[in-house]
Amino acid sequence: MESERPVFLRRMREFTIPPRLRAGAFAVGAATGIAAAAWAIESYRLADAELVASRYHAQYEQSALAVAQAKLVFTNVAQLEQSADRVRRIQISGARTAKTVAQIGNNIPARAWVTSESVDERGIILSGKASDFHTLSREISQANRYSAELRRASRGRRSADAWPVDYELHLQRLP
Amino acid sequence: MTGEPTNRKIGRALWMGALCILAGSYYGLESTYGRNVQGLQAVSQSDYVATLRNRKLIANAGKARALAAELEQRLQPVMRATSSSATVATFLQDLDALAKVNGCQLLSLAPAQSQPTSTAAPVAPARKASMRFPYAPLVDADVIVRGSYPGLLRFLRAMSSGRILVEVKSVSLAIVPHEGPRGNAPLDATIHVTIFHYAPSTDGTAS
Repeated sequence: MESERPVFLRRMREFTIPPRLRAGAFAVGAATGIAAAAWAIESYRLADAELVASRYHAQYEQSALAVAQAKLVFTNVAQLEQSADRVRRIQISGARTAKTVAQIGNNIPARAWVTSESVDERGIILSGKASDFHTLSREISQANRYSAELRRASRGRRSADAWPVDYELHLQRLP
Repeated sequence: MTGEPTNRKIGRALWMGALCILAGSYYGLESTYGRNVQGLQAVSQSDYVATLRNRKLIANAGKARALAAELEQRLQPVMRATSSSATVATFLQDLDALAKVNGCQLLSLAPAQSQPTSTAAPVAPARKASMRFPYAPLVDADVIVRGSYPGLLRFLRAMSSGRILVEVKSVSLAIVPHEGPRGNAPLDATIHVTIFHYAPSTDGTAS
């Protein structure tokens, strides 16, 4: 004993696509299939792109934090460099002044004498004695790296003095 | 015989429907997924480029840390005395020792009349605020030392590189009257200096 098949199943079995419509129906089916596959692929691509974007963004945020810390280090280094540079310049101020004094001392002609020498940032003031004005002019001309300004030059009254010419020179470093 | 033209119309409609499905899908995919994917790819690309740039900076931070350690070490010999009396006491001690080593005699150390100033490193006004130099001028002083010309030069050369930060601002040499050959006359050197002391700011960094 078998029960009778439902009507819609029977109808489905009886349903046939007319031969002239088969190509069109196949085209609709194929187009639907292609569209469904494309949607599936695009969904997958979107999900993948979202995953990649979130990973890259996480990496970026992590690196941005590290960069903020690195910037603090850079600032610290810049300040330390400035400090070290300034300390170095202060530390060599003595050696620089000594060098200037030595340069002046080495350039004094044999027949001139310096009784006082004053060195500061503005220049050098030399006071001394010379055997004659010719020697003094040679001293002025030997101040190569300086512009020499003669402040005073006078001959003493005592003729027996070996260094009768008193002078004062102001030397300024040439730019 | 009316079934034949109807079937032909339905067939055409089916083909049209297939084309419409393809065109609609293409348009729908392009306008939604395509644009989103492109947008996300652009964001990923820019994040990637920025991350690479950041990684280069981070790699340089290692070098910067090493440089900071080296600079700290370079500043280490300069004594970090915050107390002014300790600074002056140490300076006096160093001066005396230095004078003895160079065959000179320390005659006096006295505060100068002028206010303490530093000219060693003029700082541009714009950068002045950001720069925190950890040493501040404490006092201007005049140091008077007596000795031979070479001894005084050695003294002068060494006096600013001791434990206390000292800037030599000017020096005056004068012959001391004495009996004997002129070439051996001792000299008095009056050295004008600015003494610095360590002055860290209240936030613990530097002033």
